[in-house]
Amino acid sequence: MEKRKRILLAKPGLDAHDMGIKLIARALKDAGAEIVYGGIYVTPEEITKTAVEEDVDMLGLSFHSSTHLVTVPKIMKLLKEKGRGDLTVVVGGCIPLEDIQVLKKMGVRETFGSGSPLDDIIDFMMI
Amino acid sequence: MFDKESIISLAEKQIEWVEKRERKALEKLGEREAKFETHSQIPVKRLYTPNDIEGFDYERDVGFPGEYPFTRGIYPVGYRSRTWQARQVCGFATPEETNERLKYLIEMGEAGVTVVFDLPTNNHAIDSDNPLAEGQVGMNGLPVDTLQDMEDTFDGIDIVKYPVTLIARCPIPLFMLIALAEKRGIELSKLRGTSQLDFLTSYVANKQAIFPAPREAFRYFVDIIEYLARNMPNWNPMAIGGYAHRDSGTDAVQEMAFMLSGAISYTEAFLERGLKLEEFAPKFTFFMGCHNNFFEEIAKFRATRKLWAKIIKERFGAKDPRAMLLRLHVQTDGNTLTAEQALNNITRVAIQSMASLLGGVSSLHSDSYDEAICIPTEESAMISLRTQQILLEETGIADTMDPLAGSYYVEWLTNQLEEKASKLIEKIDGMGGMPEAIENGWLQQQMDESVNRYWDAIRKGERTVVGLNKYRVEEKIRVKAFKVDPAYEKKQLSRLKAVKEKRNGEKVRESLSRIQEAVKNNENIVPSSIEAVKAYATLEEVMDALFGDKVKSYREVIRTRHRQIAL
Repeated sequence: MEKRKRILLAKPGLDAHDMGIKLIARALKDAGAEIVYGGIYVTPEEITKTAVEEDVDMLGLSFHSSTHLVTVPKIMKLLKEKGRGDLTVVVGGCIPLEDIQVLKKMGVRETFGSGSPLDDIIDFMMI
Repeated sequence: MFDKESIISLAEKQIEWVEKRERKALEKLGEREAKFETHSQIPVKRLYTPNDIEGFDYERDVGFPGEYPFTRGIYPVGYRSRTWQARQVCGFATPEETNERLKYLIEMGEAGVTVVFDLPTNNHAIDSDNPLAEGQVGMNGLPVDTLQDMEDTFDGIDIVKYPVTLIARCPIPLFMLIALAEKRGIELSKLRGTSQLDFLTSYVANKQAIFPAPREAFRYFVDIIEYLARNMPNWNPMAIGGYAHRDSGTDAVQEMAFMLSGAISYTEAFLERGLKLEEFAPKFTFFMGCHNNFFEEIAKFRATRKLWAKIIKERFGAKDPRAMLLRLHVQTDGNTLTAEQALNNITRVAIQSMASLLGGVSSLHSDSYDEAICIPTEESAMISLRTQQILLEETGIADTMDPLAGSYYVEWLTNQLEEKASKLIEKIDGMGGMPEAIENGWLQQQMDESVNRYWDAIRKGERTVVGLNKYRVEEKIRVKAFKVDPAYEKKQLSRLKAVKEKRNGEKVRESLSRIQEAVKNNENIVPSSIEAVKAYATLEEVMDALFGDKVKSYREVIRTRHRQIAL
């Protein structure tokens, strides 16, 4: 049997807009993924630690309070330090269009701003 | 309204009409494919007639405006003599930038000022220099660390003439405003503003514990309400919210029930302390959202007014009619806005604003069209204000009171909402009240189920969101986003540093230990908290002195539970 894809979903920062990330968690689970749900208000350190300990295949981060440009580089750096620089990172939430390329340069594989069809997100994350 | 005979004869005629006319027309024309139900899953019929409100009694069910059960409005005259208050929320960057924007809004015609706080301040009660706050200071609201910040925010603004609304569950900004008033030599009894302080909504809607467990936190809030009732009789101490729940994805019935159940739990706690109903209930204000289902929202405002009046009269035995009034502030629901084709939001907000006014609300914040993307620009904030002015001065919808009363559909829907919300309130009563509904995870579960239902329908295309799951276009450029320059965070940090260097450290420590004594000795915590902020103790320091370890342990409980419920 094929190994199920393990995905860590987490929402760094201080805002509580977790409707989106929870909907994605549920849809990914329905699509057959194994979800490690990090929850809200998690720090880059906590996220990296969980990603390493749980040996996940992918990391999905959600942002709604304009902190993606500060937080993403921190997570990327920590992942590299812990030997998980290979991890596929996907970012979603309230992401202004002009920030998409900036995030990709930081090493983010794909971004899904608010309004992205859920099916597109799931299709991408399940490949 | 209709006698029995005419109802029976009408019912017979309706059956005949359905057979002869409606069925044929449907066979020929069919119906558009859609789920005809309200957001609260109340099925909507093709037609409403007097049969649907059989037994409707004008005096009992709606009455005259300003009279029990207040369905038609809490005042005898409506917007013709006193228009609703146009309230736009404001707060960003640092106190100095916020001060400028507040003055601009006053110039534009705002009757008061409404301040929102940034996430570190309001949702986490930490200072700007706490490492967790990095990148989030002043981003989505006003950062407040010390009294200096409130002094600068309201510099040159007459806080008696322009009542201040503080959208914060955290009580420290309020303590700072009181300290500011005292420093300006203002008699506290003259302050007419509003504080939110609805801490019960913080646990589930915000999933945050800046307070201890609900039952334990009550003591502090009862202290505050007691202090305000005795010293600031013109202040509205508590804005009891349904908005936070609605914006987190609940439906209209849940919004009504969760808000009123919260109000019931507060009322019980204040009475238990020995406060008189007349001392606090007339000063309650309420805060709801306005979602997309036009008639359901109008009916919701009418039904909520009626239901609260009944609860406070029948359950708590209120005699003073002022205690029965649901003084309601409404904000159009942020979660109805789309980032796609964002200008469409102007239309959404206009319709939601119209529903709020047809529902007779006391004050209204109309969202700006760019709120799904950023905090409002000056331009988008002005369009929101203009939307309200167009509604008042061009459309005539505010020229007569409760204009939809007597509509078969609206009266039927009002009854439906009242009935369904009452049942839900009974269920929460059965658990012991809102604190228990929060503690046992039921509230969270209810909310999650609603969210899933709503978004499943959007995903399957059963519910249309224009521009999102239908009529989508590829957009190269979205609206120009208002961005808070990250440099402001540095500015706020140096402001805080300067205050910390200037203040008398010994005095701060003493004032904080006096708070801890008050907590320990069961004295009212407000006077010592005000003294501490006057000594320029920071928000986080005062919160720590008040709650300390009680919060830290509860925060972990909440986080773990939240993770478990999520999946």
